[in-house]
Amino acid sequence: MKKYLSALVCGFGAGVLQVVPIAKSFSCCLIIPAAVIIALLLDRKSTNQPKSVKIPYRKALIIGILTGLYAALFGSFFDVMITFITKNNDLLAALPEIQRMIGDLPFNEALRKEISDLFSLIADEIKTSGFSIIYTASILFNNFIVNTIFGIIGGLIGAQIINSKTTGLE
Amino acid sequence: MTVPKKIIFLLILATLLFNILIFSKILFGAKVFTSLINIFTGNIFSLICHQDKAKLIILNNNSTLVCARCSGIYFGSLLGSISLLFIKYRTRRMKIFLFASLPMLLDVVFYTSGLYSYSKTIAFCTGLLFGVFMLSLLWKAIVNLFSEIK
Repeated sequence: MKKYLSALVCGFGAGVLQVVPIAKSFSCCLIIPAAVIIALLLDRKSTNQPKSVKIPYRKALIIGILTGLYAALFGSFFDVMITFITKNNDLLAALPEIQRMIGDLPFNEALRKEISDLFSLIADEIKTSGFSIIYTASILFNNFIVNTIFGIIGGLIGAQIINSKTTGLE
Repeated sequence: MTVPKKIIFLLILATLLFNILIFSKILFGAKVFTSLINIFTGNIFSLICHQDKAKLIILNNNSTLVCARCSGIYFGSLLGSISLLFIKYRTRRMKIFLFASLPMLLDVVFYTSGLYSYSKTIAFCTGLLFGVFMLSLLWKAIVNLFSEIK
């Protein structure tokens, strides 16, 4: 656990930034890769490795995945908590457009109504209790997929950038 | 260490699929399966882009799912992955990457500071440049990862 503490710390930071509106819109897809690069640097410091030693790419990959997973976990948690407290979120704002899109779907009327009802149910649950199990599951699913992919990319590119300093700009 | 060609094709396929999703509305129109894609992926893409309506690329009333800069980056990644089949990036990859990132960073700084107003063309082009060389750097890292595993 201690071995990957840097991933936990940076994953937490990225999770927080993911729900802060201004930070979110400024850095968008750069939050997770930046968090992974910081995690790699923190890990190097915590293990007292000299700067001349290269970071193994396998380790960078693992730290990238873990940072992404932690960011997904914390980001989802904060998102759900904010929704629970405010009883409002992005989905409610986008609901009219989603309903319009559902109307455009090339499905029969019954299926369109079923999808529309599902979204209405989620919106009602959020408005009344501030919590929807379907919304929570979808947020978790999306965050885990996206953050893991960007964590892997960030880990590999981060290791490449940091290692290039040990051998000069190759 | 040479990485199997399969990996390059996998990378091309992944970036191609990503680009198809991003440009789905423009490519296939708004009323076919794109509405479905939009409902299910719109939320996913909101995690990686602010999706500010004023910054989306719009063609024939249909827009991309991410902003002009992100579209440039991902389209650049596709071009970068295809270029791996023909170009061998050998030296100074890191320096080239840093130089390729510079226009994008300068554009962000300049339009944020109000030196000029946001231009989708500039955002797309600088993102494209960044995307191509970011992919070449990622590729170098994948090659190094493979040689470590072997």
